[in-house]
Amino acid sequence: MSAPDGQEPLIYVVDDDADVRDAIAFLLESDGLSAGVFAEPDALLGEVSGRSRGCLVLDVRLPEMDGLQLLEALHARGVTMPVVFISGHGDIPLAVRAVQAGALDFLEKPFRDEVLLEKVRAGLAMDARQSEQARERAAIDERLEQLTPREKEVMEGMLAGKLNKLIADDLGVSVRTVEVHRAHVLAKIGARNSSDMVRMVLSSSHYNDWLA
Amino acid sequence: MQAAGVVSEVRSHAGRGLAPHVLTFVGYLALAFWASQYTFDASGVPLIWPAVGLAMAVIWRFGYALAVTVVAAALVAHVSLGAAVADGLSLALGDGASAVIGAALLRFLGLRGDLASLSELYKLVGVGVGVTALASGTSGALVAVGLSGDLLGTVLLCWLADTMGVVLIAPLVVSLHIRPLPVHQTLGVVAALVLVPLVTFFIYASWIPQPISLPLSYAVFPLVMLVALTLPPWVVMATVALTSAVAIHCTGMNKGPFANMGMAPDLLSLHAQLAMLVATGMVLAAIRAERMAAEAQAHEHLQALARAGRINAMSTLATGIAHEINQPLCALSSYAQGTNRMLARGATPEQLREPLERIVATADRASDIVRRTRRFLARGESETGPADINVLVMEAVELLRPEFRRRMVELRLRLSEQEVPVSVDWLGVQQVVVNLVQNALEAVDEGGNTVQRWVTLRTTANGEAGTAVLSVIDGGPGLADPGDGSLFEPFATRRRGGTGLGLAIARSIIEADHGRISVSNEPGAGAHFRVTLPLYRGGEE
Repeated sequence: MSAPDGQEPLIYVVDDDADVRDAIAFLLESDGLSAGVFAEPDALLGEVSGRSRGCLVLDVRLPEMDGLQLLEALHARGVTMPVVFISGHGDIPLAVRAVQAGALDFLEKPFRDEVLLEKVRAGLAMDARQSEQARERAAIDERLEQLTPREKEVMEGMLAGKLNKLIADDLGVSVRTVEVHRAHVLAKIGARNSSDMVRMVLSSSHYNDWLA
Repeated sequence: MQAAGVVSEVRSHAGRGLAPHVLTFVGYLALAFWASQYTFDASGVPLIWPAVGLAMAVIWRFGYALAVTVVAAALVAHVSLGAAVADGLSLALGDGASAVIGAALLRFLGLRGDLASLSELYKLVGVGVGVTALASGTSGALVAVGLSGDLLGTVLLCWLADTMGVVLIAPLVVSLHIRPLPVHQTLGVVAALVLVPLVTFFIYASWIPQPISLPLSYAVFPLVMLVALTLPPWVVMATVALTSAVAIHCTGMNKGPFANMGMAPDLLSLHAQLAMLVATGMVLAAIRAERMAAEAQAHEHLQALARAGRINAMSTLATGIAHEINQPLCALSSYAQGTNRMLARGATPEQLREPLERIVATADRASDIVRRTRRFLARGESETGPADINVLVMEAVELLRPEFRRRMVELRLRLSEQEVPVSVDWLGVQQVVVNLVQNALEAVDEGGNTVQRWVTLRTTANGEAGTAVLSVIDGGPGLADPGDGSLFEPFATRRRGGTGLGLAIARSIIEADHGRISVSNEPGAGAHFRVTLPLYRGGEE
C-alpha cells in the first residue's frame, strides 16, 4: 500500500478523553497499524489535508463541535479518508445521520477489538482504492493539461460524437487538420481509440467542463 | 430512643449477674432505715417510705426476679425496725406485690424509661401513685392498725408516704442512664448534684430566720428548672431526689422553713412543696425532651427529603454519569484486548507492563466515579462541620462535568483563591450546587438561540460581613419574575417535568446551615442564584 506522495497511511484517532484515545491507539498499534491521537477537532484539522492517507476514528461528541460538523469540515478541506465514528451514547438517530453524511460506520463504546480493527482495515482498503483512483485521475488531468487549445476543441467535438467533417466545418479548418489533431489528442491522453479516450476523460476531475 | 435501647439491653440481662440484686437489697435497707427516722409516733407509720418506689422501678427495669430480693430486703428492714416476724413478712409481701403489680403495669403500658415525653410521666406517676403506692399503703395500713376505725386515716398516711417515695425515687431509677457525657455536660451534672443540694441545705439548716427561709425555699425551683432545661432527665431526677433528701432530713430534725409545727404537719407541708418541685422538674424535662425529639425528627425529615432530592438530581445526571463510566471502561477494554493481541504475538512481559499499568489506572478512574456517585447518594447523616466551600464545590463539579460536556456548555469556575471556611452539612451544600448548576444548564440548553452557553460558579469570602457567598450565574434567558422568592416554594417549577422541589429542598438545606438563598437576574446574562453562608471562624462560635 504505497501512497503517491510517500505518506504512510495513518489512523487518526480523535477523542477528548485521553484514556480512550490512548487505549484505541494502543489497540491499533498492537495489531501493527500506525495511529496518531488528537484531543480536539482543530488539532486534527491542522494536521490532515486532501493528500493525507489513512482512516479516521472520531468520537461523535467532541468539545466545541460534534462529529457531524467535523465531518463536514473535513469534506470542505477535501479530506476523503473514511470515517469510523465511535460513541459512548449509543445514539441511534445520530448514527443514522452520520452514516448518511458519509461515515463508514458507527461503533458504540466499548467495542470488540475485532470489530474496530475490521472497520479500520475496511477503511484503509477503501482509502487505498480511492487513492489509486485519485492517482489515475491526476495522471489523466495532467495529460489533459498538455493539450493545446485547438486540440481541446477537437476533443470536445469528439466527446460530442461529431464526425471529423463536422468538427472541421465548426472550426473552419480542413478535415485533414482535424485528423492530425485527433491523432495528437489520442496520443497525448494515451488512449487506444476514441471510446477509450471518452472513458478516460470521464474519469478525470475536469469532465464536467466538457459535458455542458 | 437510645435510652429505650439501653433499657431493653439491661432487661435482656435481667436475672444475670448479682449486681442489681445486691444494689437493690442495700438500697432498700438504706432507704428504709433513713425513712424510719421520720416516723410519726401515733401509728408508727413513717412519713415517707421511698423503698416502694425503688422496688417498683428495679423490678420494671431488671425483671421480676428482683421481686424476691425486694421481699427479702423488706422483711429484714421491717423486722430490724421492730416489727414482729409475721407482721414483717406481711408488710414485705405487701410491698413486693405492690411493686410487682406496678412494674407489670408499666411494662404493659410500654414505659420507655427515658422520661422524654409527657406520656412517660403520666404512665410512671399514674401507676406509681395510683396503683403501687395505693396498694402498698393499703397493705401497710392493714398490717399496722388492722380493720379498725383508724384504717382510712392510716391508709391515707401510708399512701402519702409511699407516694412521696415513688415520685422521688422511681423516676431516678427508671431514667438513670450513665454514659460518657461531653465535658461541659459532666461539669453541669456535678454542679447540679452538688450545688443544688448545698443551696437547699443552706436554706434548711436553720441559719436563716424562718420568715426568710420559707419564701427562700422556693429558690430551689428556678435551680431545678435550669437543670431540667439543660441536662438529661435522669440528672433532674437525681437533683430533685438529693434536694428532697436534704430538705426532708432537715425538716425531720426540726430545722428549716417547715420546722416547729410538729413532725407530721412539718413534713406534710414539705411534701406538698417537694411534690411541686418534682412535678416542675419532670414536666420541664419531658417538654424539653419532646422538643428536642421534634427537632431531631425535623432534621431527619430534612435529611430524607435531601436524599430524595439527591436521587432526583442524580437521575437527571445519570446519562452523563453513564457516559463518564463508559469512557474508562472503553479504554480498559481496548487496553485489555490489545494486550491480549500482543501476547498472541509473543510479546515479552516487559512490553506488557505499561498497558497493564494503564488498565489498573483506568479501572481506578471508573471506580472513582462510582465512589463519587455512591457518596452523593449516601443514606443517612452526611458529615457536618468546618470545610472549605471551594473543596465542596469542586467535588460537586466533578459530578457535573459530564453534564457540561453533554450539553456543550462552558463551565466558568471563578473560585476564591483563599480558603472560604464554612461550617455546613457537606453533602447538603454539594447537593445545592448540583441542583443550582443543573437548573442553570437547563436554562442555557433550553433557552433558545439567544443564550450564551456558559455557567459561572463563583465563591467569595466577605470577611467584614462574615459571610461566604456562592454564586451560580447562567448565560440563559433569565427569570421572568425573580423578585418574589416564590421560586423557592415547593412545587414552583419553571420547566416541564420538574418536580418543583429542588429549590425548596435547597432552601431548607441552606437555612438549616443558617444561610440564605436568593435569586436575581444578572445584567447581560441570565439568572444569578446566590447562596450566603456564615463564614466559619475557628472555634469562636
